[in-house]
Amino acid sequence: MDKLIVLGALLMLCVSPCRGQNSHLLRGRVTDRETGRPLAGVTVYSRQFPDAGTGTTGQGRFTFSVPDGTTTLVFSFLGYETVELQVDLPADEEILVSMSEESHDIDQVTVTSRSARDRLDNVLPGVEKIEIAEMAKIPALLGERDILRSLQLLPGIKSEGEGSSGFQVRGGTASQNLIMLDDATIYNSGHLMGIFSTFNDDALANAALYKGQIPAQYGGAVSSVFDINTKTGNMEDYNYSGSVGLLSAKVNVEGPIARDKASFFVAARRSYLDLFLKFTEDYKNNTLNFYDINSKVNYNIGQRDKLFVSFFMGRDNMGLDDLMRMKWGNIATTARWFRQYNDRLYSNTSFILTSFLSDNSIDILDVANSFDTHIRKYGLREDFSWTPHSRHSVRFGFESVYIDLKSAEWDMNNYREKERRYAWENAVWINDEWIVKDNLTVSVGLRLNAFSALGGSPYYILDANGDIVQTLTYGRGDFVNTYLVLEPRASLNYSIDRNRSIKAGYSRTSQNIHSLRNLNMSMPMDRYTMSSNLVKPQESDQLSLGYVMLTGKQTYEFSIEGYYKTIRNILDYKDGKSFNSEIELERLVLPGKGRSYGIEAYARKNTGRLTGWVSYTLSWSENKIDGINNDRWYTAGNDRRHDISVVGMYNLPRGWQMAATWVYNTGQALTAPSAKYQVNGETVYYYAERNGYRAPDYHRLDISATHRKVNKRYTREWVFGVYNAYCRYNPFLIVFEDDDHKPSGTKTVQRSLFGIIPSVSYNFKF
Amino acid sequence: MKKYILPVILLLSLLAGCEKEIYIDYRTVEPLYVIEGRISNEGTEVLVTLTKDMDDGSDPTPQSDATVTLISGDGEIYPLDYAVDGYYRAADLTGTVGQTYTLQVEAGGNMFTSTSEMHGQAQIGSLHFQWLKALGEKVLFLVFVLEDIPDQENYYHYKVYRNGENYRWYVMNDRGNDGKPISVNVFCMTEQMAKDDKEDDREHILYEGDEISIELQTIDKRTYDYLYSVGLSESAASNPIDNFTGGCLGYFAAFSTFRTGTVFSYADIRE
Repeated sequence: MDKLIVLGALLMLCVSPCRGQNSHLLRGRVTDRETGRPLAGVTVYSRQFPDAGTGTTGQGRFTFSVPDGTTTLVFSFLGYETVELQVDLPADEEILVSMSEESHDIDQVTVTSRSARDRLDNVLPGVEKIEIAEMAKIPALLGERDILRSLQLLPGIKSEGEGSSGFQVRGGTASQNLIMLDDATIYNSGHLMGIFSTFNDDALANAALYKGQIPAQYGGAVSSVFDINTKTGNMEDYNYSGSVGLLSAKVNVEGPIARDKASFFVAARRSYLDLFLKFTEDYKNNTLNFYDINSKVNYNIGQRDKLFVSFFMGRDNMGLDDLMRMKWGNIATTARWFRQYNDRLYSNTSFILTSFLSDNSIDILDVANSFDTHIRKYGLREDFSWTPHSRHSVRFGFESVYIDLKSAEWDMNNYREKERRYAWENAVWINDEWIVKDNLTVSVGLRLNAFSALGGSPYYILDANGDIVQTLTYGRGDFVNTYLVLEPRASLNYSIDRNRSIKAGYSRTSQNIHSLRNLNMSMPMDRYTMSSNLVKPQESDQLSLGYVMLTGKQTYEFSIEGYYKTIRNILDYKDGKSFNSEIELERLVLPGKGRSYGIEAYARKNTGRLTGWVSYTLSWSENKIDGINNDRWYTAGNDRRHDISVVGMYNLPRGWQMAATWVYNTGQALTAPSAKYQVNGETVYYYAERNGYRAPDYHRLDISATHRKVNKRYTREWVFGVYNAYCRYNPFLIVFEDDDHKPSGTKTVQRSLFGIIPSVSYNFKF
Repeated sequence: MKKYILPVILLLSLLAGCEKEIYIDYRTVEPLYVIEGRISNEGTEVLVTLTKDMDDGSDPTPQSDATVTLISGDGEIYPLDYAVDGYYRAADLTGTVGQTYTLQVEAGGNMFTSTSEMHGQAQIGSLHFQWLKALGEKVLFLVFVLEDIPDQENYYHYKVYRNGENYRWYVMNDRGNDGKPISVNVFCMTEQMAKDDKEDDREHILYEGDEISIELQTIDKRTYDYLYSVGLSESAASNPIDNFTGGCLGYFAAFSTFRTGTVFSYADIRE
């Protein structure tokens, strides 16, 4: 029994804010409990300062700088029990942590994941803290671990569709999620048309998804906020790791720049499908690749100041001979200065640049077309954390962002047009998390968002048909109009006893960058626009109520949460209009409203040889847009009544670990015809109602087996996986075709994307 | 610009995939009137039918009891008599360029009305077939050059027939090319499709000696908008926009037609 006790791992019952005097450099070493060997690649971060995470080196060492006071360190590693350690800083001696392999007998386990406790104690309902190490165990398509795909297994979070890493939260669309990587916004976060996400999980320290109750320091999305932090480099030793999979290879390097003063972390990934194409005569002129780079440099300026600079770049390139070219991706850079003023106040000042682009062209014989779009944001963010009293944690700050957005520029067979606009968005916020009584915590916040459309390009007055009545011209920098949205946020957590709590929350959020999609998935042809004299900000109100309970030893965890959400000013294309019908996007869209509601249930086993969870979501999602579906409410395209995910991970002796996931969901809402007729001798379908039918149900089993060997100098891992193990052909697209062989003359055809897909990958760390 | 979808579908289809027939329990609706009216330099005809349920045969249900009237912009009224199979015709009535025509159809106690302006004729200067190499494959295009009418906004509807049957159609405009020759590529088939000669592909495969004809209609913007929305209808799963008032489907167009043609022969394909 004692061999499983992890040194110094004490659980803190509630999160107490840090009240240190100075920043302090922590040093430590992580070893395998049984063999005493150092563990490389263990993710280490502080619960209180999750944006300063790191990994251990080949010698199992880590260095890490956090403000003094009491902090909880989290150590997580694939195949090992997560360890939480409470330390009081300054701590001069080296922190020694030994981690046990997961498994063994339930009764013997004495140390459990802190995450369960965190889910119980967090004042906000509907928050998912993503443990990267746990997510890494889940079987992956083509062996490409993907945080956005793993996310889809949690309650209330759905896949955009077969083969998409895009996710939808509580009836919202993927474009209503704000995805932030080190505070910079990432748009169209998919590689290969969204099959994989642009996030390399090797570079990530931790992530949190806010499904509805969003703290006031976040804004700009009406559905969810996904906040991802990347790793910082080790201050003492160099550390190398990488992997080789079927689709891509990854390399990670980290180490000190100046010992104890500055370090770096770089992770790079590239697909290499096209390198094989080069060897084939027929395909050598084609391009099909993606790559991404994550890097971060951190520098301890002094006892109270730290500087982090992170850079991210993700790109996709597709090209077919000289005929077609598609390129899209993001560049995001953040420079963040952490300053501790005194034991009660610290701040983060960030300069943030985001640049998203999509550039496409097609050139066949004498006909050339091109289409491109971009979003560029230049922002300053100041975020203060202040602890005036042991029962109050206050966040306040402001943000100011200049936005340059090109909704489209095209050259269609010699016809050139573009629409590019500018805006200035500002926000101030304050949020207090107040421990009212020992069993009652409330979080109350207010965010004021001001969005100003700026001149420099035309704005319009349109008639009912969408034709331009008047073109308004404003000088560059002139204010066209300003929208002020006051966003109250409130939630409470009432603890019935140590292991049970009730949560409730209300929040209002708004969004000023709108995305319009032709298909139900992210594509390089998506168009974006901003609020203007015609387009109003999307605004959402959400109420949620939940109950969380843990069993005595936190082995099991159950939660249930209900929500009701309304959204105003959503946009959709008018019937008969496509992304390229007109350059003036406002002429193509109609505004409307939406509502969604549902219940999410979650049961989880945290410890033992077998861990995992079952999540179930029952939900409804509806829209009403005047001009669509005869102005009546209709089922939203992403409505699915039942969603079930089952995730199981099982540890076997001698380094083997098995994992399986099974997902099921009711068929996606489908618009199918109710009659047919002919125009010019071709069959045309008559649609009586939008999304009135259902596609066939979706289900899929994925399995994986991982073998890990920890050698003296390095760790290696083989991962074998099978996606869609029983080869179910799930619906991707449903089409209606003429068929002369049938008396009805029509057949309904389902197209599927993936059959059974096996994969293998090799990971190493040294 | 649905063209951008093409590479996406190509990529997705590379990733395995499979196709199978499924069965949907289609709900039915009360049949709706469908009207296709045309007046051109070649003549006038109006087809009145009803929609069919999804599980019924595709042939339209002709309607013989409608009252069909065409009114020209200068006030002339032309009643159209019922001919056969749902067609209503007026003998020798051809359209005049510049006139705006109104079609009125009274059927089942409803009045359906639409208007269209007749534009002048544009010509096709040349046409040929051409192979294009892509992805290790040869793709056949029918290429024709349209001589745009200068100094005005023009909208075109071209229809390609193979041995008198519908083969391809599309609508386009002359934005950016006013008065210039506009090259149009019509995708036909790949060389592999022709070699394999699979039954499913026969609607696309051209055979030696096939008669290919092109009809180029100069249409007005209303007709263009309608036909454009017909082209989007299936992929967007939305109905085409209304062209008639009164709640019926279909459209009415006044246009000028130009026709040309060739015989398909492998020997004439340009590389």
